[in-house]
Amino acid sequence: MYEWVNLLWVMPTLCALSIPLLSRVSKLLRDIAPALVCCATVATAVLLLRLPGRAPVSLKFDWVFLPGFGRVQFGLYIDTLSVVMSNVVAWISLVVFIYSLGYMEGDSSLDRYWFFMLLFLGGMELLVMSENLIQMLLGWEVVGVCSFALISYWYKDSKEERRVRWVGEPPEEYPPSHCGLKAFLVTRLADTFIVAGIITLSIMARTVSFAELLALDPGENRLLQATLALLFVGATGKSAQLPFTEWLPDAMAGPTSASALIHAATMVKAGVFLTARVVQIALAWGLGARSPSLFKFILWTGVLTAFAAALQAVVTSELKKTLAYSTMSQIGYMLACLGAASVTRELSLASSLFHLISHAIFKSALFLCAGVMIHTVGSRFYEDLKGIGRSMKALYVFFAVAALSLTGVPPLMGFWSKEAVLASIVKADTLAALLAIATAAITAFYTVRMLALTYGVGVKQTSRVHNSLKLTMLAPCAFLAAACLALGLLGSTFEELFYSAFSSAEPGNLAYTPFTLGAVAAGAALAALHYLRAFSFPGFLEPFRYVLKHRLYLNTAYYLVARGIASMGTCAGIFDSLYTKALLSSAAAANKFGEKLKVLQTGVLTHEELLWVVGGALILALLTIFR
Amino acid sequence: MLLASVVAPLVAAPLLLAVKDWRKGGFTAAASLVLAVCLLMPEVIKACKGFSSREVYNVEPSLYLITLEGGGFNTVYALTVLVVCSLSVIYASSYMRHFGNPGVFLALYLVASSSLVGVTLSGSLTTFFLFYEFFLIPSWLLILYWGGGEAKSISFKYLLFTEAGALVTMAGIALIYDQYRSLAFAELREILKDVNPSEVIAPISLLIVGPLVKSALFPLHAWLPDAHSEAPTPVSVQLTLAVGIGNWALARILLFSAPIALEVPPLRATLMAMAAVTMIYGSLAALSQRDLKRVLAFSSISQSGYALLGIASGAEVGVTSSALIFVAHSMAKSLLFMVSGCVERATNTRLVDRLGGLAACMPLAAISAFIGFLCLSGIPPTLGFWAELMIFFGVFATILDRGYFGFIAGIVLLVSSTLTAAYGLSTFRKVFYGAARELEVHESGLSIIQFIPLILALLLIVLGAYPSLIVNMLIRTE
Repeated sequence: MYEWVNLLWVMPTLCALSIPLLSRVSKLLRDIAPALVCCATVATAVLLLRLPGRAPVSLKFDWVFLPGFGRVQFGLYIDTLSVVMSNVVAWISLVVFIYSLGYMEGDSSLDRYWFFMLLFLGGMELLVMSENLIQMLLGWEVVGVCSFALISYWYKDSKEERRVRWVGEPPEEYPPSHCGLKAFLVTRLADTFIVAGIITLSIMARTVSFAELLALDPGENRLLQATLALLFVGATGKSAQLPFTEWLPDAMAGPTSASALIHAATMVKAGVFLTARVVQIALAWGLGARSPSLFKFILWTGVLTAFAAALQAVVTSELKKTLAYSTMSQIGYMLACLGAASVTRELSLASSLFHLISHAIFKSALFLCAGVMIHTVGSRFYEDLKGIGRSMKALYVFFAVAALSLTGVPPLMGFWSKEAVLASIVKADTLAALLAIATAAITAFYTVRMLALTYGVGVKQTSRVHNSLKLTMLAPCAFLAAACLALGLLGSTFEELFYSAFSSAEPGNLAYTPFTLGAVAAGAALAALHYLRAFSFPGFLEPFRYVLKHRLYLNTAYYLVARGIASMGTCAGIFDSLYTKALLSSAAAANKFGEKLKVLQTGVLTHEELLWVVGGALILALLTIFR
Repeated sequence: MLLASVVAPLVAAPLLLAVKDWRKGGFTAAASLVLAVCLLMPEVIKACKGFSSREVYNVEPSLYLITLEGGGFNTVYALTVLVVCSLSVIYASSYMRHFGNPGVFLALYLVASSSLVGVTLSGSLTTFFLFYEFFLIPSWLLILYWGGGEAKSISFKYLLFTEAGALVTMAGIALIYDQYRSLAFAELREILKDVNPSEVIAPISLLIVGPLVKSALFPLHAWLPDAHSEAPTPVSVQLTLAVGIGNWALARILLFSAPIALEVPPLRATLMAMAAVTMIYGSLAALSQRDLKRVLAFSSISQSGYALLGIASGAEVGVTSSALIFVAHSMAKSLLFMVSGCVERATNTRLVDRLGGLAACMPLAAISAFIGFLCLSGIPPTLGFWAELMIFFGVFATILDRGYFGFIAGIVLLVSSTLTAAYGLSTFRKVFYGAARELEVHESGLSIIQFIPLILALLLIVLGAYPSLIVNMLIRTE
């Protein structure tokens, strides 16, 4: 009776496949169809909300029977987590698709754009709704491929467009196709951990289905617990957490609409989704109390990434990169919150998801606004964007609302969700909580910096405007900013509704709010003073700035490893040619030896007779010796 | 009917000798191969239902000549060979048209294809050996006369390597016959069930040397990079299939007839080590190649390692995984060779550094190549995903019983799958991404040779989305 839920992923996928045909019929149809299909997907996702909440439903169809492995089924698992995720994905996609109508207008290869955007939507819905890990991996890799294709969308890497379509500054400046490849390889490396985890689970637990895993009794099997850690490591790759961070800032080379959808609101959250599933399973297995090391691992990965990424966001000179680091940092919060589940159980799951929703809204709003600014000015650098806020006032207001939501200013939605997340972390680990609150201060700092730089505080001349503003681009920004405000004003009402969907969870209290708000205020004030030129930073901070500017040298380390592998490849290539040559020269030597032996065959009768006698004597001698 | 599908291309071969036109010849040849596919269909249906047929023709009964066997495993191989060869022959009819002697080329090509089908359907060691040796002659001639570079020495090297391996295999066959008085795979399976493992180790080790050379495992691979890269593209495709045939023989011998041999630790360890080294070595060497076809050639070496690892893990999934990787790899690699042919035709170079920006002018080739590389890296929704998953499964299952040796193999597999993605997509990027360039050649023929790989790419996606199409045939043979 729930078969219709399959429409969630079937409709976008089919539409993606028909894009080449639609484009033959009419370009207009091709551009409108994705938005329409997305509307239908949103409708399906919304209908899911009406399903009786708590009891998960799983639907299964036979897919393939693998000998030894067992039956792999194709199915949907409908529970609060998947319903929430599918709604986030559908809604944000709709907004981004509409935005793309304006943003991508006139691009020469829109077929490819729409194909991959729709395939992404289908893959992502498949990922979040999947009933088992193998099917999830299918969606996981499909979205990875789409991410590669969309990051390297402007694959011509033309040098004239480097100020808008490349990413980074020399020597760490990369063209789009390089960034796509980098993103794909880094995430692929992490994915192998998922594959290892899935295989080990399927051998030891004899199942990869979420429903069956939740019901499993693991006993004291340590190896089975370790598989959950493998899955989590895989998840960190997609979510750009330490140590797989460096692909995400460079992924900003793609079109901003794709960055908003894939690299801010949805795909990077797949890691949070998988971690949430891992946490659910771990809680069901009773690992929370017995062996919390997995949870500690998740918690600290999240907190450290949140902190390190926020620091890097402070020094970057590109608008989109600030947002990318901020995404990593906020996802770090979500994971840290999930890591706190050993203490707070379902509450953490709910809080983390709550932050995921609010982040999806404000971050995509920020990206869409940033996209408009970059599109209008024709540069991704702050130095060119100075004063853009003054010339586009309405847009700047939306941008500011979303930015304040990111900072956690009440009564915006980000405030509520960040409080919920911090409340969970505080209960689990005090040191981590302190780091998280410090991160909130840094978040405030870089947000204010971003606002100040785009407004052009202290700058007289505003930026030149290259492109005009379209309604299809402005309306989505307005809608998302309004959502931040409205859901924030609903505040605790929405929160309670949301938490009630998770069995026993109750919203956390606001006991720590004064601390966090204080930290936020301090960070914001510092930034404001600095950018109003009231004070400048002391010189001893310069080395820190330098290290942060060089991406903590993690990126350098990545390239060292890559070069190492490449030089191993060169060695293998050289070895191979030497090896082949050696074989050939041994053949030549055999040939030469044959030539030498030819001397013995003179054809002169007396020589032959002599050889005959010598040979005969030799044989006789040997026979007598070895008799 | 099995014989008919082996013979159909052979019958057409002499007719083709008279042909002077690539197009007509190509389509005749393709028609004969398609006919062979049709003739194989009854066996496919049987295999899906779990039956298999066995045909014995008493050419030399004491030597089990000629014994043919159907069944899921063999049929999957034969079908793949026929489908790839028939597409490749259509490709050849357009790609090769600037070369001379279409009739002779196509006739030899059909003879080679038919012997490949013969190998995959053979039911005894001698039948296998006959077809296996028979393939060598036409493929050697094809490289010799239509190959590039130093075709003479390259084709000779290919011939000598394979032949040396084959001689060792023949010694193995002789030993087997001497000890057990049987050469049929199915009979050997019964006989070898209860013998002492150490007793079979010598004949089996000899027997697998030929297939190991054919599937180009390190250190027996030296013939492959040159032969694959200098052969004309359609022949490279056929050589790819032949490499897979090496794995067919390994699976048939080690998993079907003499699974007992794998219970001897040194043999198993040697094979696993060989597989692991080959995988890493092949993909590392592929990273450093500048010639597009050599990248693909080293990638074939690496993929052979995958197949051997699946087989040597000896798990119950070995049969399925080796067949799946054969289908996935031979289709993907064939399409990539075809794409490299298009690229060479359009730009007159195969050097990766000189290429770039081709996605704009050859979109179909770019799409196919992308899917091909995804398949090699084992990324869904291509068939390669399932193949790799099964190999992973087999290897990890042995990790749990066999401790650290299997563990190393598992790590190697993980590393190598990342390396595959690395050389695959970076080659893709170098060839198709970057600043757009002008093609040196504009001709209508480019559209056909771009279209054929796309068919293979779509097949890979369909099979990847619903692998049961193949797997259902395979599971019933176990």
